[in-house]
Amino acid sequence: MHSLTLAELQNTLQQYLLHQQNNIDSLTLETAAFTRQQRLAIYYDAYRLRLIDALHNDFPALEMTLGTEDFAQLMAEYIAQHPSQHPSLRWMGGKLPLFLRTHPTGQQQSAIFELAEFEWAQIMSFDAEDSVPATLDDLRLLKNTQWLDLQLEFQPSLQIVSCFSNAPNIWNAAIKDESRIAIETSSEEKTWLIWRSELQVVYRVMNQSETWCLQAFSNHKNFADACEGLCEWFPVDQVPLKAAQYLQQWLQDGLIKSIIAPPIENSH
Amino acid sequence: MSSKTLLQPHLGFGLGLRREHYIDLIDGHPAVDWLEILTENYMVPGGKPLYYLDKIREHYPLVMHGVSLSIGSVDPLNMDYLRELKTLAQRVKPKWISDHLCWTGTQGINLHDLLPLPYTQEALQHLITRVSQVQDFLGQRILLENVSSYLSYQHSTISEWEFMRELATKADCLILLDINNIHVSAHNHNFDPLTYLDAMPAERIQQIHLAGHLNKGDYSIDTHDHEIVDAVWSLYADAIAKFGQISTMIERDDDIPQLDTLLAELQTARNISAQALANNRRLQNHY
Repeated sequence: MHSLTLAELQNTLQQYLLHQQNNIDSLTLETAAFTRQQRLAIYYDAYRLRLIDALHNDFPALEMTLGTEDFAQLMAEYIAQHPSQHPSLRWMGGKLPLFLRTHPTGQQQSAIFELAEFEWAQIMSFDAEDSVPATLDDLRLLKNTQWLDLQLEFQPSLQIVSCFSNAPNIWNAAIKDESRIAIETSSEEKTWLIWRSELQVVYRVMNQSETWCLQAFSNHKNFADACEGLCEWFPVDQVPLKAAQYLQQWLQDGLIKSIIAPPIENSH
Repeated sequence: MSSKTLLQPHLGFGLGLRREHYIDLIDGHPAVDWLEILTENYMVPGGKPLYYLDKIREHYPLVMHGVSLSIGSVDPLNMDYLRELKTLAQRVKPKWISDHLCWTGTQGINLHDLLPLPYTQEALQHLITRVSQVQDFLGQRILLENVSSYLSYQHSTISEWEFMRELATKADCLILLDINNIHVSAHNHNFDPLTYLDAMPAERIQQIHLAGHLNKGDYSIDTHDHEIVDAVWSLYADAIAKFGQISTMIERDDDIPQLDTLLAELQTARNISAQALANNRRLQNHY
């Protein structure tokens, strides 16, 4: 092994740490009390333990639901498929929800990947970019002629997660160190809104019409488009008031970053 | 880069900033001279981490300590990481920026471990170039810390301490000397820790780390979850006696105790440093 270049040496050790590939016993020196195998095993084990610990911190409800051993085994599989490519462990769990969607464990029980999606959304909201929320006063400043074309920009912390299971309740019990809640799955999907109010991550459920309306605005639709879509749930004459109520609620929640209104037309 | 005095002014005795102590630090302003942040924890867009960091920065000088520079990797330098590092530094205005003498992965993978380098001329040349590139990009000298290690390569042609000294001198960077890491590596590789200290260029040691570890009998693991042991305190006294006053901080990353416990441990560091300096003065007066 004396002729290995720095690149070859790093690749050799990395392949060992990732996959226990390569015979690298002769890579390292040893002492009688501390063998080559022991030395390599410290790095091999530490790699997995460190990453599993990061996932344990980010997905407490998933761990509580699966149990510590099954969680560690599943995370080891995940780490093997998705080694970190980011300087920070903060991003280690980013591909976990999708991994669990296609994993037999997640396919047997949708609550498993829904929990991961819900917990990851919490993390994404927790340290999302700061922004000052718009207020009801900003809405009051609008002229009647501006309403139909108004658009919204939401807070960067806004996350939307849909679940058939009671994943949010399981998560809530886990972070409060309450006893484990049994998984329940419904035939009806619920949509959850997650965002940061001041520094705290908060969440609430939305009904179908609010979900549709919020997603429409998220997709750069304007107030007129939103009203048109809401006709599916409400009589036409009630729709503008309903849409305005949603706006008011979102402003009170601190969900809206800015109200984008067209310039006021000059009357002469 | 050149200046008559390589080192930044002495900061005194500090602690690693941990979220468990945010409120105590903001509300109580306890007697800590400075704080070291884990750089990557604050490379986030917003929210609580940066909020508390800004609050704490109002009361304490900060230094930035990273784990993902991967200065020894054969991968190209991660310029996205360096840009984020520079942006954070512009916000934090740290007294200095440090990372580790190690590599953390190759081929785009981050193993999130501080892996030891082979101490060869090839590695030395590689690191001299990379340190210079990083320092040019950041516009300041960086500090590199000696890591704890559990393996040493057959390929190495020089010792770790010779490598560190050569690198610091030729790349014109500074040293973050981790006393606990010297102790742990000395146990694991069977060398005399004083040999390590003897080889260090005093004029480039900007900071000292102290921490606890786990002695497993045949070897030691750098866990940062214990109190500092007597042998590390003793080596610290040797370092201060040899190099003089150096900004010192205690790292605790797991089983994090109440702030008061760490403040008491920091007082021990103050006492040992003062005693070592006083002994030095007595010796100088005697001769």
